[in-house]
Amino acid sequence: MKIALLLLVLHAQDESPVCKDKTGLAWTHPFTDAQKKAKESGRLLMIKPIAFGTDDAGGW
Amino acid sequence: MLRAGPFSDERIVRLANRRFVPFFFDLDSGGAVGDKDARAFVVKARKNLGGGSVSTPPILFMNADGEVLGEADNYATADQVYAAMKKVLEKHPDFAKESDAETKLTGLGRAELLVDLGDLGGARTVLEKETGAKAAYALGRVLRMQKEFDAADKAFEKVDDKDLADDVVVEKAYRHWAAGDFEKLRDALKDVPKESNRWTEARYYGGLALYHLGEKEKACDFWKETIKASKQDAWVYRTDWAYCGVKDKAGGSFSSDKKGSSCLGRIGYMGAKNPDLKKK
Repeated sequence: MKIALLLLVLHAQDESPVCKDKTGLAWTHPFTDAQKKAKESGRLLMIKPIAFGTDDAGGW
Repeated sequence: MLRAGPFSDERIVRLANRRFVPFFFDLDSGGAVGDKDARAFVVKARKNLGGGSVSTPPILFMNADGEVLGEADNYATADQVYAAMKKVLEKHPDFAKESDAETKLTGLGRAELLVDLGDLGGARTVLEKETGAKAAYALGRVLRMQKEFDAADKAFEKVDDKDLADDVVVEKAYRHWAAGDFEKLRDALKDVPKESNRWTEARYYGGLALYHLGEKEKACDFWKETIKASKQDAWVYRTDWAYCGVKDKAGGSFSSDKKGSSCLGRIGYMGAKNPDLKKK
């Protein structure tokens, strides 16, 4: 059961459009985590808002 | 275009991962990467991004309290985005301080940090004092980035580690790209094996060699085959951008929404033409 749940979580991660980006940029999601990380590490947020839509293939 | 261009540029990726917290989101909260918290945070600082129809937003450099300290245009070149990143760090040095872990770095680790920060001269000074194949390879790479190709080749001669053999082949090929010697570039890269971690990079430049030798259709077939045979990475994005640029007869900019124009099935505006297609 635990393994099944773990696989489900891993599969869900694979399906994320964020995971599908392979530029090498270490994106932090969701925003609350990114903001927390920026505050704690003393770094700036580098934010790219997208205006024309995103799909689950990671397209943008 | 950002993903194929600036966001796939090694300098930008290194500096972003070292000194920034990268984040992207869809302004439409219902999109695949919509994020209500991010939208509220950004729209508070940039009211114009809160409407129903907005022009393509820039990359924003913001502190965690919501102030915009810098930005780079969505259609900026890699050089322009990189310059904007460096500028915002120079203007706000508190955000560029070394972490406790970074202050303890020495040798190869310190050199790696300096390369990430764009201090190639500093990295070179550190690496010149180091010994071993990995240090020789890292030094050669830094020298190649500085376009000191003869010195780079001398450093690569000291790399006696088989695991780095493909890396050395690809690194040494860059001098042919810089010189516009496309026959040598094509020949230097032709034997990089598919199993290599540099294969997509070698194929990208191999295709460019064909393109600049006047064999445009061959280049497109070569790139298409590469994309089909690989998992996505930064070089594959760049390859698709080049492919689209050659296939697009109008030149300049275009939408990859045209059927079949993108091997990766990309949608949307692709921005400017890949600069590597410019006549050298």
